[in-house]
Amino acid sequence: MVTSALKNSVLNLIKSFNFIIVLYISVISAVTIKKIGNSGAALMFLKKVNALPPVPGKMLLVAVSFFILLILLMYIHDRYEITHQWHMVIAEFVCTVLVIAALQVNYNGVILLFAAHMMNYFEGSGKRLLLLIFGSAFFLIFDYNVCSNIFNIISFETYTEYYMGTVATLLILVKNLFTTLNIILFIVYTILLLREQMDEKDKINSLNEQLQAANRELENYAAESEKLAQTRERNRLAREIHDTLGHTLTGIIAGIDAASAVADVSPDMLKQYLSIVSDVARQGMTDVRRSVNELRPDALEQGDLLSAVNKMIYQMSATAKARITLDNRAGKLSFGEDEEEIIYRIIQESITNAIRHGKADTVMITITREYNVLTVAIRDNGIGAKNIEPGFGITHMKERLDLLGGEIQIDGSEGFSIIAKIPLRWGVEND
Amino acid sequence: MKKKIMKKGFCAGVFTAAALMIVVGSLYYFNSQKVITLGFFTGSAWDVPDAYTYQLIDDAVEKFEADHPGIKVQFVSGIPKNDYSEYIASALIKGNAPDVFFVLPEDFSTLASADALMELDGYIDRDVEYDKSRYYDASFAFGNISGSQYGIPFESVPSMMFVNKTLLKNEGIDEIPRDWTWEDFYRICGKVTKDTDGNGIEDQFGVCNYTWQHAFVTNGVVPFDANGTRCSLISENAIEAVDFVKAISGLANGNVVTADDFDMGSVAFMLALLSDYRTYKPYPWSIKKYTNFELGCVPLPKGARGDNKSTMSTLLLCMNSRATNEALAWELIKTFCYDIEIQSEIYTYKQGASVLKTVTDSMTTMLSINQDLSEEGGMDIDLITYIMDRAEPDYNFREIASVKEIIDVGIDDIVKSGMNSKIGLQKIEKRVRRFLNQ
Repeated sequence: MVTSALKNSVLNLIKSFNFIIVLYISVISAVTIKKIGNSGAALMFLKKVNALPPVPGKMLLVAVSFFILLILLMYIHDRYEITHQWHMVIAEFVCTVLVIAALQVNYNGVILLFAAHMMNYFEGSGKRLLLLIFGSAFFLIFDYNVCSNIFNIISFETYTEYYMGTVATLLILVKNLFTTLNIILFIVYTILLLREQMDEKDKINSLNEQLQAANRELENYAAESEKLAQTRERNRLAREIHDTLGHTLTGIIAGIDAASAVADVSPDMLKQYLSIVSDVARQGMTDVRRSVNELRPDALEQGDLLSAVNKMIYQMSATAKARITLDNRAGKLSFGEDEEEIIYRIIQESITNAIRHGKADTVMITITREYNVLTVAIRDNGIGAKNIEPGFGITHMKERLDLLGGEIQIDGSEGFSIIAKIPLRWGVEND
Repeated sequence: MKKKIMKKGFCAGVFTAAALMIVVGSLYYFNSQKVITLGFFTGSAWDVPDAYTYQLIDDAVEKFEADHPGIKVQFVSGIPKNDYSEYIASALIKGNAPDVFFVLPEDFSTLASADALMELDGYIDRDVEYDKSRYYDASFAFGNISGSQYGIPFESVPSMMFVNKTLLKNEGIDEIPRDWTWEDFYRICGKVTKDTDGNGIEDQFGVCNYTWQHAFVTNGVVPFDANGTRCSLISENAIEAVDFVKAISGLANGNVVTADDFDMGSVAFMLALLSDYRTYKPYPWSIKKYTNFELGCVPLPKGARGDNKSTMSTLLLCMNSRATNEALAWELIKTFCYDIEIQSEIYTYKQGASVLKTVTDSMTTMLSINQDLSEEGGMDIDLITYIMDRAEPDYNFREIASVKEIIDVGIDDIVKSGMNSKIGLQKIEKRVRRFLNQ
């Protein structure tokens, strides 16, 4: 951050410094041309040069105007963050060349300003290197000694020859000093730019480490939550066994005890008890079957989610004598394994609740999808519930949905409705 | 809402400003188109008295303005010839030089090298009524540098040999023919060099102002290429020429013969310019300088390998390389340099020769009708034509003045020390080459 601010202030310094140099060279040249024109040294001067000097005022005006235009373009470039726009680059380059041309190639440091500014928009060391190479090439090409072989131009030194020894030396000295300082500033800028780039790399490295740490934590958490899920499943299993097998076995034991007590006294009573035990055992058998069904949805393993749900609806409507309808508006239902299981379980649990607790005879299931959110709504015409006490089934649903980051809405005021919203993961749907 | 109005107002303002600028700009442009500026000097380019500078300028300007209605020629008058070079250079540097201006022979290469003059080849080629073959070759060639025409000749002045006819008559020497030779020249000079009052000191001489340049041009020496990049002084022609200069100078026996001596009537020949001849030769409107003898003139004597040639300097009219209206500038140049009437006025108001062959021809016709003028005026147009046809243009490369100085010093050294001409020339050539390579 500090480097970046420093870098920007160096760039601003380069800008103002270049302005001073452009002004210095054009003012000194213009004033000297005017002086030569008025002092009777004009013919002598023309004998030394291969070109007419630029009209004094014009040179000053053109050089300064194009320089201001260049700075303005740079400001617009920065202000509106115009990246990847070649016309901006070209416009700035043209301005740079025009400033240099107006000064008759007596100063080419504006190229360094151009390169320094452009480096902000050429990210990646490869592009920056390319810019640096191009910049250096132009810096070498737009050199007075090179250009004076091709174009007829007049050097700043020729103008200064008009003055007496010390003044001429001083004028050239100041110009050279300015030019050198500009190069030094450019080098400082480049170093700061490199440092900024290195800082960014460090930042990325530290962020990467943080990310890895977070990832490890997440893995631990996942392992824990798996363990938790196992414990929870075990508890449920224990309760299920207790609720079904425990009751049944208790009943059977009690029945057999009763039966053995009356075995010698009354064969009729014995038969009656045995018949009850048999009923209890059968009921137990049914319960165990249901539990096993709930634990492992075979249907889901055999086919896709839709056919599994349809099969479940068919079985349940047959045994419970209820009308269960499914309206699927979400198209093909094909999701991740865990997602499918949770959707299946929510539907199963809801229907069971509707029939068992709500005494409903009609259950409507609607599946809709909006972008990546799947909504499963189960409504029944049962007695509903005034106060919804999160019982075992609903808590369980919530827990399951939480794992997927989904949510559930329950309304027991008119019949009973459960609306589950499940965010789906991308990319699986087209499998 | 307010912002919108303000935006509208801003747009309208910008539009109005732009429209205003276009109107003012075009007004300025069209106005500036109607004026063309001319730069000239008063007096003669060849330092002879000149009383009629304005007549010719006024006539030409009047003619141009009549041919181009609505266009005005502007000029600053009264700049003396001696200040003119600096005046033009200063105006060029300050960017307010005239569109068309006269260029003195000695400034031409400087201004052309400084990119101050417009290249005129395009106009010459495009203008169907313009025929450069109407000019004397040497006059036109002087405006050409490295194959590009930067100036159109206005007035030319060739060098010629003044003759003191009275002195020659007294010495029993006949009229000198136009195609006379170095031998004739040497013989006559030898014959007239003597002590007339018998005090033991020679007081009558053959020639003054005769230099290596005259010997070179009359013996076919080509010391430089046109661009002044190469110098070759070692040739039979050049060695002969230097030998001849040595011989002629030897006749004076160490006496320094000057133009004053010629004016006094004690020298038979003097190298001079046409402008001198036309100024000082008795003529109704000229100054009578030579009163005590009859002045005549002949071409330069030719060497064994050369012809009766002359060196010639030419006053050019050039276009500013930053001229605002080039087409009109070209027309103005043509009025001065291609119009027969204006060019004829050179024989009336100026001291040199017209650069157009046709003008000289028509003058011959005119003078042949008016025999009086021909005899008393001595304006032997036929002789001028003879000399102009054989003239060689001056070299016009940038370093020519310095190079000439180097050769002057070198030849002077050869003449005074009696050094072998070839060895001397080799030394000079080395020096010149070193200078040109700098």
